[in-house]
Amino acid sequence: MSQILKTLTPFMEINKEFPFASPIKEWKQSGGKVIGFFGGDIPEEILSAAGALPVWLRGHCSEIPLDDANSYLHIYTCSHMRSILEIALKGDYNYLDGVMSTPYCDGSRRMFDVWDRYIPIPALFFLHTPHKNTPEAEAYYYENMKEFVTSLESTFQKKVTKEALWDAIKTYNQTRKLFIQLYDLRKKDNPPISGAEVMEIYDASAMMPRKDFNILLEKVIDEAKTADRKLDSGHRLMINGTALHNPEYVKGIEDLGSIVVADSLLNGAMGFSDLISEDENTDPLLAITRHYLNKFPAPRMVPSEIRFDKILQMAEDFRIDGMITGVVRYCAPHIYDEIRLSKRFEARGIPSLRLDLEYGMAATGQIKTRVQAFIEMIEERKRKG
Amino acid sequence: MDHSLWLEAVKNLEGLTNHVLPKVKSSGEKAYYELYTSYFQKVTQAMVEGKEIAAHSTFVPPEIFHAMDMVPVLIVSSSGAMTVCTRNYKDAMDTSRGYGVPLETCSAHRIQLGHFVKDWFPKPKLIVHMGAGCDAFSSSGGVSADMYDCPDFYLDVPWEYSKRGVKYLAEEFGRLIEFVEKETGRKMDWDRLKENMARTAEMTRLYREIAELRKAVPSPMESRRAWQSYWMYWINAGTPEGVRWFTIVRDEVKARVEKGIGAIPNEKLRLLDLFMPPQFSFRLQDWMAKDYGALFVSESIVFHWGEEEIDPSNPLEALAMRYFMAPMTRCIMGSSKDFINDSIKAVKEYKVDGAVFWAQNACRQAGIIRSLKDALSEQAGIPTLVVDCDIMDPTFVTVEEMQLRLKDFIEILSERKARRSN
Repeated sequence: MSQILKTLTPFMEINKEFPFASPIKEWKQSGGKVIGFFGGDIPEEILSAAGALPVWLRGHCSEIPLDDANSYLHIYTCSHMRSILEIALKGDYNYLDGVMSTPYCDGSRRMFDVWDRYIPIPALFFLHTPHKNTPEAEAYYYENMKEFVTSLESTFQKKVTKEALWDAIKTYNQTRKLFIQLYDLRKKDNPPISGAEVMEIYDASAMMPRKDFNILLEKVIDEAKTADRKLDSGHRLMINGTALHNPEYVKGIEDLGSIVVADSLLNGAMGFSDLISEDENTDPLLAITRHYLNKFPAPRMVPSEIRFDKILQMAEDFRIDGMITGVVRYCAPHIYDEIRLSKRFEARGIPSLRLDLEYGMAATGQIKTRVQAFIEMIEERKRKG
Repeated sequence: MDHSLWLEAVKNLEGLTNHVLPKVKSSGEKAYYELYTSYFQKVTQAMVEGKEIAAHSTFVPPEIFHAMDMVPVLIVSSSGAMTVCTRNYKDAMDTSRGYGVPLETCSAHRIQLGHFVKDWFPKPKLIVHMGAGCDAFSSSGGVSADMYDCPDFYLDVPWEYSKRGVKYLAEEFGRLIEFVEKETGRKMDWDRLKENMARTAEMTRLYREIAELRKAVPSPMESRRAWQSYWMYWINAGTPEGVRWFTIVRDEVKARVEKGIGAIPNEKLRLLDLFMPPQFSFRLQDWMAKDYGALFVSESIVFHWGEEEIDPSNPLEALAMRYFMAPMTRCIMGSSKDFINDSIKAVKEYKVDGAVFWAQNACRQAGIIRSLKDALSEQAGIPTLVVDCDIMDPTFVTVEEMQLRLKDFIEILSERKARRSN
């Protein structure tokens, strides 16, 4: 592989400092509040407009013993949630001023209960997100959003103004626009950036103020555009499944003669593909409400066809040769999603592979063997035309 | 379609019922066999006559389908029942595994999907599923609809009870009715729906009355009757059969309380059931009662109703309110606080000696175990046993293995009770 993009270094440095990275420390030192969240569909714009730094909680990028977490959250809860809990129980998330979640999945809601009962935290916020995007769901969700804003204001004694919301919307939209640019570069025959490197960017994005992140991401895009870096693409893959954070997992797949050019991950394309309306004649909270109901849907949302169509469109746009879905064990939403999605991929003649994972795993051992066989199958299919 | 398994299962069920009925003394037990068999006979009759069937997941109100003259059939529990009646556990689960359903999801849903892969399940006109219960409930209906290539409707449910949530859910029921009307060309008979909801309100009133009567010492109701009641509630919601069931059970239980008679001759330990026991057999509960005098006197997820009343005059809001007040949805949806607080309250009201949590394989509701166990110990002063098991797979943990765990626990509880009474 060509030499690493220099502009990626700040992101990698931040990731090494997980879970209490320098940007978070600096934010705290300046008197700022930090709200950690897990699950998905969290309107970070609102947290940001309330003056808080939203931090997307995750586990370590390695398989660690989960002894403490296992005693509070049964092993039938996915290891993604238990990995976050392990860190929290060890006190490494003690810097948080609040924790937020949604009923994203069974794991996240029961994790929220455990946090509420066992881990001291100044504030807890829970936002109910509907599973569909009907007018009734929008009205219901909008009222929930208003209630959530009120509870934030009362906890932090700070008014969430329309101006602050628009400012946050624009900042987060800027991130989305930059990611769209970055992903456009990945559509090339020889993309200038690997899937593992993109994962480094995503991981860092969860631990720093968004305006600072945007500046760094812009630099990466500039370098990727100008550095004449052409990665040997091998076979073009898309990754899907439970939120994954370990760049080594992606690298392991890429090292076997492929390049990950796209994803439909919660902590990836699902978060940036759609922009929030910036029409300032409307209510910013309503704009946020509509966005989170209508954006690239997670498996929990219905009708599922909207999600499947989006993913299939991406597969076409990025000219992928195969799809790998990593499902963390006991992640029911992705278990059922994969069953339906893989049939649709099959119908389009695109092979897909499901990997049953534990959170934090790199692509080692059995995973490598399975990916290798999958890539051989792709080769064979290509050879046969 | 291959209806042979369904027909064989119903035949076996009829055979079992005919065999058991002459021996059964309890009017509740007798009614259970009759009504349970009758439910599947109605579906079979609809299959034969070509009547439109609405397949639905648990908590989707059958009252709506009855009011539209359709024949409702529960998806998960009916496929489970068919498997129990034909003992084809392995075939059903292997089939779903072959289709790509991994072992890390519960066997009830694996069996359901096995039935759909093999075309064993009756072909419905439509499938209605719901985001209640768990992620598997939310998702497996869509997979089934894919397999049968039939229209489906997903009922969205709010996170927890609130006035706003009742309004939203009532709107969702309205959308469901529009969907059924569009797909079938049928029209909702609103007067009939109101009548159905009046029966549901009556069933709920009786259910709550039974819950009150069960506080008596000795306990007047068998453990299995509690679970039978729960399933009877959902398969016969809004029907005369449903009212009949709860009336029979209430009368039986009331008569026992008035006479001071217990459901078992020598009640020694009163237990609280915290979660779903294996559904393929109630042998365990019978054994605990018979050999040790240990009886489940209340069940958190099937007998702890919320307090709000159901008003049949506004049927959609009544359906929404019933959803929020019903024990299982109340426990497993929303924050775990209701589940925990209701269980603590039950320990005091039902004079409970110990609790049992059935940790079902792959069930993410197990995430509540530690919180429940600690709360019951600290705030109600009772120990909790966690039994590893599987909801539908008898080979995952055998009955004998579970008996060993339960036996030890019963001994501990007996010693503890003896110490306290000295």
